[in-house]
Amino acid sequence: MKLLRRISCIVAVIAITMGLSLSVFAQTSKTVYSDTYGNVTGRNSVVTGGAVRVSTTATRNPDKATLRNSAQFSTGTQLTTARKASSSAGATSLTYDFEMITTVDNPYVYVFCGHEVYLSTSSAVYFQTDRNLS
Amino acid sequence: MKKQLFSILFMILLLATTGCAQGVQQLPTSVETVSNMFTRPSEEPIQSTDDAANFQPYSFYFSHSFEQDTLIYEGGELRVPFRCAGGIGSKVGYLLLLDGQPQPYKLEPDGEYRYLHTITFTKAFAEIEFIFTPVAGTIGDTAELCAINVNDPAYRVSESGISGNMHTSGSIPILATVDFKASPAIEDMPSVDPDSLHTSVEYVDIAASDILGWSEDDLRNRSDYTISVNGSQNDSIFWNVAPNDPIHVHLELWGNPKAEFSVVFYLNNEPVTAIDHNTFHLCNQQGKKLKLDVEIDHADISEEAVLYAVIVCNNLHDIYYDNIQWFAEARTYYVIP
Repeated sequence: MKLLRRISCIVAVIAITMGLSLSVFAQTSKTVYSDTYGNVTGRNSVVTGGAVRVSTTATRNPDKATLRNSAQFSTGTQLTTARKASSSAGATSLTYDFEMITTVDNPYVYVFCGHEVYLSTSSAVYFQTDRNLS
Repeated sequence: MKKQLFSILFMILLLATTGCAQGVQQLPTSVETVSNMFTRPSEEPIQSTDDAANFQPYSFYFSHSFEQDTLIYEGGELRVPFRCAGGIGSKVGYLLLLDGQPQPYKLEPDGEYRYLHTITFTKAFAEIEFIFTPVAGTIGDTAELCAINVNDPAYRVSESGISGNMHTSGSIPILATVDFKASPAIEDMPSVDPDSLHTSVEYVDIAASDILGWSEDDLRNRSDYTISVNGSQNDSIFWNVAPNDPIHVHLELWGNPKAEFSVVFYLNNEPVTAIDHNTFHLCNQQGKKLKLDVEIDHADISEEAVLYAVIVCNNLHDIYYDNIQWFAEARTYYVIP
């Protein structure tokens, strides 16, 4: 009986731990509606190997706009310049992994991800999703 | 005994469910939808969906457009209808560049000419008018009018801490074309201080690494650039800078030899380059890379200085092509004593 109780406790602890660790890898998402591009959805998540995966999708892209993802990392006292990745003209989705090149002494604690639809020359959409990395 | 077995089974089921969650982790934990910005404006404030919001998160959204892609200038002041949308309470400034020149403008006919006006969104969208006498162009010309948003122009790192709300991190330039049916009269415009700038320009041969991975089409059409401030390409914030030390900006630009660019530097939301005062009209040269070195004096500024560099293509209507990567870019740097 005691053995069974111990097993139950261990299993419970493992489940809770896994749940907590998975929440670190959970995804942040935001959707903006525009007349031209429909629902524009931005997501970010931390992926294995120390990168932040940033994706942007649009329902439609009638004027051959470009999707662009960006990431800016903060150490708490420093903010990197934005790294950016662009889709081809007319694409409706873009996913890019931004590697976190950092040091143990100066780790990144936060990332600001940008989601853009632009280069249609006369209209544009931008919004952010953020993530705590610490 | 049965209870124990049941609890074990429950835990196993919980584990299995959690394990499955790992397999579908692409599903968002929080989803927010902002309703149509222009035809169905939302009155709801935009909230961050960040799942660990304890580090000054600042999630904002933004959208804008000219009402007309082509504008006709027939003399006097040009009125340019413009639509923009943003989070309620957010503050957005606008810069205009006409043919690569900083263009002062008014938001009201009897308003004040300034290079940047700030709009505070009291609802989710705004319809405004840029009103100005063009600083460039003569009858028969076609020129690009570029609008660039600057987020929360009053933001300073030393006062508000680090956030994603850098002045130009969400800046998306958009263009309209101006056809001149008349020549604008010269008017008094806000002045700039040309003495705050010391520059040098040179062209060097392009290195193989500069065009690594470029296709044949890229070699004909693409342009690229790098920019560094005080020797760093990676940092945006410069702490403990003595006021007597000028800010050193190094820009390299290369690619499409048909593209003509202007570079304008703004210090605390005011241009330090303007018409007849060292606006850089930069032309790529075949097989060459342009190197521009600029030293900006900020000795008169005792507190934090915000510098942004705006690079804009002046002749996109002549060279537009399908795989364009960018036609205007802006970078911000915070210089803190």
